[in-house]
Order: sequence, then structure tokens, then C-alpha cells
Amino acid sequence: MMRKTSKLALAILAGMLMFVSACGSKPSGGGTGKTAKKVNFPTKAVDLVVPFKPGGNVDMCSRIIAPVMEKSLGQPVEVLNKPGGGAVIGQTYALNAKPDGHTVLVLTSSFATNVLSGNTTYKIDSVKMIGQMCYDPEVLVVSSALGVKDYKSFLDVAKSKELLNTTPGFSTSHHICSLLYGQKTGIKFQYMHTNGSAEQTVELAGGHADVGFTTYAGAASLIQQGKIIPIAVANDSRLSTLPNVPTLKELGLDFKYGSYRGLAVSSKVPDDVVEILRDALKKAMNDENVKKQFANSGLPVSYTDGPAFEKMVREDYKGLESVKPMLKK
Amino acid sequence: MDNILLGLQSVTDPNVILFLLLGCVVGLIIGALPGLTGNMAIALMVPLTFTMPPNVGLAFLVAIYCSAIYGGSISAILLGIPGTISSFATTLDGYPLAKQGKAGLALGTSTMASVFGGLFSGAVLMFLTPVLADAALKFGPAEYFAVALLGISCITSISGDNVPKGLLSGMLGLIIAIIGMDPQNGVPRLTFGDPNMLSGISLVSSLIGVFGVTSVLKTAELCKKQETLQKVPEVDSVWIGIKECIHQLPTWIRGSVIGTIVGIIPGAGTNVATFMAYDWEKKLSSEPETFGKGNPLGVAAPESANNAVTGGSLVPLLSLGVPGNSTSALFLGAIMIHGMSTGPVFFTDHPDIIYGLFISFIVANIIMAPLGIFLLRYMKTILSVPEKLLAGVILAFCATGVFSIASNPFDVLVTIVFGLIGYFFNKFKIPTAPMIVSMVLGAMIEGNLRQALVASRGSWNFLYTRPLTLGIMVVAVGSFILPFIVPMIKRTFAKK
Repeated sequence: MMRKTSKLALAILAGMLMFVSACGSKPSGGGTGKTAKKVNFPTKAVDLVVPFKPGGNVDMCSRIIAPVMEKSLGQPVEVLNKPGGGAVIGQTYALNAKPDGHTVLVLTSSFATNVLSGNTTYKIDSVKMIGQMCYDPEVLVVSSALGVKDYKSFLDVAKSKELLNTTPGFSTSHHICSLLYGQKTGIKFQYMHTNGSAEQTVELAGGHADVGFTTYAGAASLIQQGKIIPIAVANDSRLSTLPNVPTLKELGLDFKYGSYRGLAVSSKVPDDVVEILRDALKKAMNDENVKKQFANSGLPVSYTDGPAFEKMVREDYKGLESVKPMLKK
Repeated sequence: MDNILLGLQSVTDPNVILFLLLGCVVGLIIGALPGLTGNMAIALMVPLTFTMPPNVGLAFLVAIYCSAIYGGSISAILLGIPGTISSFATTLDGYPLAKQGKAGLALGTSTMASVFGGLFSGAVLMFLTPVLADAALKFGPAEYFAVALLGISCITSISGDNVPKGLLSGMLGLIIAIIGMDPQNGVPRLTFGDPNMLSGISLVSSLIGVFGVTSVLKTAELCKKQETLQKVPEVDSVWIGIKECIHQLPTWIRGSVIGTIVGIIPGAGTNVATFMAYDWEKKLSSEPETFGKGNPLGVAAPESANNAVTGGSLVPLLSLGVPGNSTSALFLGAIMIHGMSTGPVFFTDHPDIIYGLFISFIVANIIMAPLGIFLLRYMKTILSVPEKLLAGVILAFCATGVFSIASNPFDVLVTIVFGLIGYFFNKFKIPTAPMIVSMVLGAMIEGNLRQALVASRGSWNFLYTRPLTLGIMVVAVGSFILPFIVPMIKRTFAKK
């Protein structure tokens, strides 16, 4: 009896172990490699390294495009989550991997801020960009409890006293945007850093903070309920999702900021490999289904190609250097 | 009522039933494996639901969510290793019960308590969601701080016989919680320049170290003494019987109420609920000394609470569009991808989907009971495997589970280090539970206290000017000092 039951238990354990390993790797989809290309790439599965936990917006974007890129690359494209350390761990991992193009970093605004902190092993020019997937302009929002309905009255209040500004975390793009905005207008804020955009919007909706910069998707529901009031958009043109909210430019302030998501590889990856990846991303971003799924998730596709994206990120980095002292105090 | 019928109609779809069943099985297994959490399983399954009809996809996810939380209790009871933090409190009494040959009672209790907690919060979710939404927004940083303090106040009562040693362990936990980036000014603290430490010490890795690796080390030590390993504990029936159910009912209700309320507060988390439920049960008990030594109520309370959190955490998501915890954030993604938005419009635009989700939630909890009891009849035989044979397998499981969290070898190192820490704690008879509780809640206490201080411009007056904060604080302080006062009062009365 003893023997039998232990065998059974071992069998169950073995079954569980198989399940664990099955969870780790997705079954590789078929695909016929396109041999017509000059370089032989990809020769094995391509990893999209997401430097965040599964389930966030960045992870979601990657999982939407992975199966579509898989079709044009002819090899499995897998999402690999390497969270932690404010995205430093995943970014370091992707840029230290063998530079053969099989390890692709999902690059977000945090890349520039991490480099700015000076504690990373990589520099702003350690990457070659594949392309930008989406761009979220920052929206200036206030709590309905503040009793402010438009930008002009907001300025009056903000100049008369230091408002409580809530961010999803120290040195996140929303925080940087507030710093840059404050620098430009001379308005001073008191900063309250939370753990993520969900907490940030709850603080605003509950009237526990006065003001903040956020992106539309995360605050959409609370804006519709009137608990959070959008005041202005930090973009050149109005948002299709918020047609009645003026841009800061219209209001006489030339200020533009947003968070971006795209793909990049180590700068040591050969150019022809980079081109293949750029093609695959371009095709994926033009796919109707991808566009629809991005839009549904509140992240409208705003594709730009590799060189343009690279230029944008470098410019962003230059702009950041002016707030460096404020981040390092 | 029409809406409920609409929901029922959506669940009668054979695909929904199939995926509910599949979700329950997947969740149960994932939950039972140390290191693998329901959150992870759901994150990996969300992309699969993109191509499913929304009612089927959500039913699948909801089933994984509910049964993974329940599944966590299986390894907590049978092996003494809580697979996730939410089943940590279950270990305190579940494992001693299993050691005494009452594994069936513990597993049965956890099954029934989980199902009850799930159904209770499901009913709250279905009928009270719109009403409760605004209450959730009343919680600001000051209130979160008070709630976290209430959660951590239980360390005095889970310290066992030696409260000073418990406090020592708790303080060590608080120091460990400091590691990582400062939440308000980004300064790295105690990281020694290693980016792996920037986000702090991974809770699940350290938990598995303290319980899994430590128990393997203890087994290894005992292997020299042949006698001790010979006895195979008896295993009783998993079905606990109606009489026991009625006996435990008040505990289930208390656990469910705590779990649902804490679940609704966005960001408070499952962990606080289980600590609180366990602690209150012990304080209300007429024989508190039996807790920690194998009292079935010590299993019933946290298990009903952690499953009640599942329903509660969906309330702010569905009514406000704000996810209450990381798992409900995943639901947000799964709902949005189909072009639906959460919040009040969800109820008016897609009543079939939302009520389908509610009914699926309830059905998933009902499926869980027979499924659990059936599977556990076989799983519990694991106890008849001699510990020295099992130890190696457990170690392998712990390592693979921890590695799979973020595929980062550093996490495995954390597990090993905490295994050694746990072993030394054990040698010096210092309880490890207070350390774990402090590590879990330390960041929440610090983060919210400092946010509250920023909001009040550095003044501490928020502690007494906000009635909600003050109320919770008073209960927290009371709960902290009660274990000191009660024996004193008893002594005074005994003298007279």
C-alpha cells in the first residue's frame, strides 16, 4: 500500500512539474523560414523582453503584436517578462544579450529616465530603434473636489497656493512631465508619489490630491464619471478621445510631452538584421486587427519608423537633462 | 432581475461551462504549486482570451482567479509551504493539523471556507457593487496607513509564547522592507548598487525560502535520527461533515466580511485581509492558546477571507473602472480589449457580459468544492511519502517556482538566503511569522504614511482629524496591545 501511494504521489508531482515547464514556454508555432533574405535571420525564437510584470499596458502591447510579427518573421516571437528595478533589470538583460537580434527590448519612456539617473550600464545611444508602437500625450487633470473647470481658473489657483500633485511613482513619465511643466510655467507643486497609475487616479478621484498628469486610457472611466476633470492636453493637436479639451498650445504654452512605447535592440546588432525587424514591426502595426486591439485598450497606434523614433527619444533625453538636478536632489 | 436572467443565459453556453471547469482545474494546480500564483496564470492567459467571446474569456479568468487562491491552501496545509502570501496565514494552523494526522479536516475546512467566502463576496459583488463604489474612494493615504497598521498589529498575537522574540522578528522584517528605492525621492536604500535589489526583496521568494527551504533543512537534519521518520501520519476524510460546517459558520462569516471589505478598498490587498481574519479569530476565541498548534478555525478564517477578497477586488474595477489589486488590473485589460469600458457604463451598455461575469464567478466557486474534494483525495496521499524522499522534490519545486516568477536567478538566491535565515530563526526559537507579516506590510505602511505626510504638508494631525483614520488607528493600537493586557487582567483577577 505504502509503495503504491508513494508512486501515485510521485506521478502527480511529475505531472505538476511538466505543467510548470509547460507554463514557461509557449508551444512554438510552425512557420517556414523565408530563405530569400540576404541574412539568415531569425534562426530561432525571437524574445520580446518586457521589463515589467505581465499584465500591464506594455506587456499587453507586446502580446498583441507578438503573434503578428511571428507570421512575417517565420519564427516564434515570445514575450519574456523581466520585471524589477524600475525596468533596469529587463533593459540591462536585453542589451547585454548576444547582439544577434533575437533579443528585442520593449522600450518605454523609462529607458531615458533610467539612463538619466546615471546608474545604468547602458547609455542613451546603446540602442538601435526598431520603431514606435504608440505615443500617449500627457493630459493635465484635476480632482473634481478642487472646483476648477478650465485652465484659466486652474492657473489662478495653482499660482495662489502649492497644489498637491500626485504621480504614479518617482521619475515616471507623469512625474517628469509635471517637473518640465512646472519649470516652464514657474508653478510649484507638492509631490505625492504613489505606486502606479491606478493609485494615482484613485487619489485624484477621491479628492486626496489636487492635480496630476496622466494619460487618457487609465483615467477614462473616472473622467466619464466626472470625478476627474481633464483641463488641458500636452500635445500639438487635440485628442480624438477628448475632443473638447484644449491643448496647452492653444492656451498659449508651447509644451508637449507624452510617454512612448516601441521596440529596440542593442546597437551592436547588424544593420540588415535591424531592417528585417523594422519591416516585421511595420507590417504588424499596419495590421487591422492589431490596430483595433490597440485602440480598444485605449492605446491608439501611432507608428513611427526606427530612425524617427530614435530621433524622438534622443530629443526627449536632451529635454530631460534640464530636470536632472530635481531628480537627484 | 432581468439582468440576472441575462447573466444566467450567458452561462448556459456550453463553452462557458467548459472554460469555467478548465479554469478551475488550471487555477487549482497553479495555486497549489509554490511560487506560481493565480496572478501569473491570469496574466499568461489574458492574451488567449483576446480571440474568445468576452463572456467565455472572462468566465475562464474568473475561474482561475477563484480557484488559484483556494489552491494555495493545499501546499500550505500538506507541505507547510504557502504557495503565495495569501495562503501564508493558512499555514500557521493548517500544517500543524496535517502533522497531527488531521490533514483531511484542514483541507476540508479550507475547501468549505473558500467556497463560502467566494460565494459571499460574489453575492456582494452582484447586488451591492454600485452602492459600494463611492465608499472605496473615501480611502486616502492616511486611511491606507491605518489599515496597514491594523494588519501588522497582529504580530503580537502570532508571536507565540515569546512576544519579545516575535517583536524582534517583526522589526527585522521592517528593516528588510526598507530595501529598495525610496518611494518618495527615488534614492536607492541598502541595495549595494545591485539593480536586482532596486525593487526590494521579492516577497514570494523570501516566503518560500523561509517555509520551503527551511523545512527541507530541518528534514535533512533529522535524517540522522532514523526513528523519527518512520511514522506515517494517518489521513482522514476530506469531507468535514455538516456538524463541523455549522460549527465553523460564524468564523466563515467573519472571515468573509473582513475579506470583502478589505478587497473593496483599492490597493489594500489580499494579504492584509488574511492576517486580520486570522488575528481576530484568535482574539475572539475562548481558547486562543490552541491557535498555531492546529485549530481548524485558524484555517477557516484566512481561507474564507482570501476568497472573499476575490469578489471584493472586482467591485472598484467594475463600478469605477479602477482596479483594486494587480489581478483585477488584468481583468481590466481583458475587458478593454473587446472594446468595452468598465465603470457605470459597463452596466448599462453590456448587462449581459457583466451579469454573465457575476454568475460565472458564483458558478466557479460552486464547481470548486466537488473538484477540490475529489482531487484532494489523491493529493493528500503525498503525506504518506517519507519526508526525506519528498524533501529533494520540494526543493526542486521551490527553485523552479521562484525562478518562474520573473525568470531571474537572483530570486532563487533570495530563496536560499531566506531558507538559511529561517533555519537560524528556528534554532533560536524565534518565530518567523512576524517577520513575514512586517515584510509584506512594511512597504505599504511606509509608502502611505509618507504620502499622507506630504499631503498634510508634514503635519501629523491627519492621525486624529480624519474620523475614519482615527477609528481604524484606535482598533489597530488596541489589537496590538491586547495580548499584553489580557494576561495582566487575568493575573490581577486571579490574585483576588
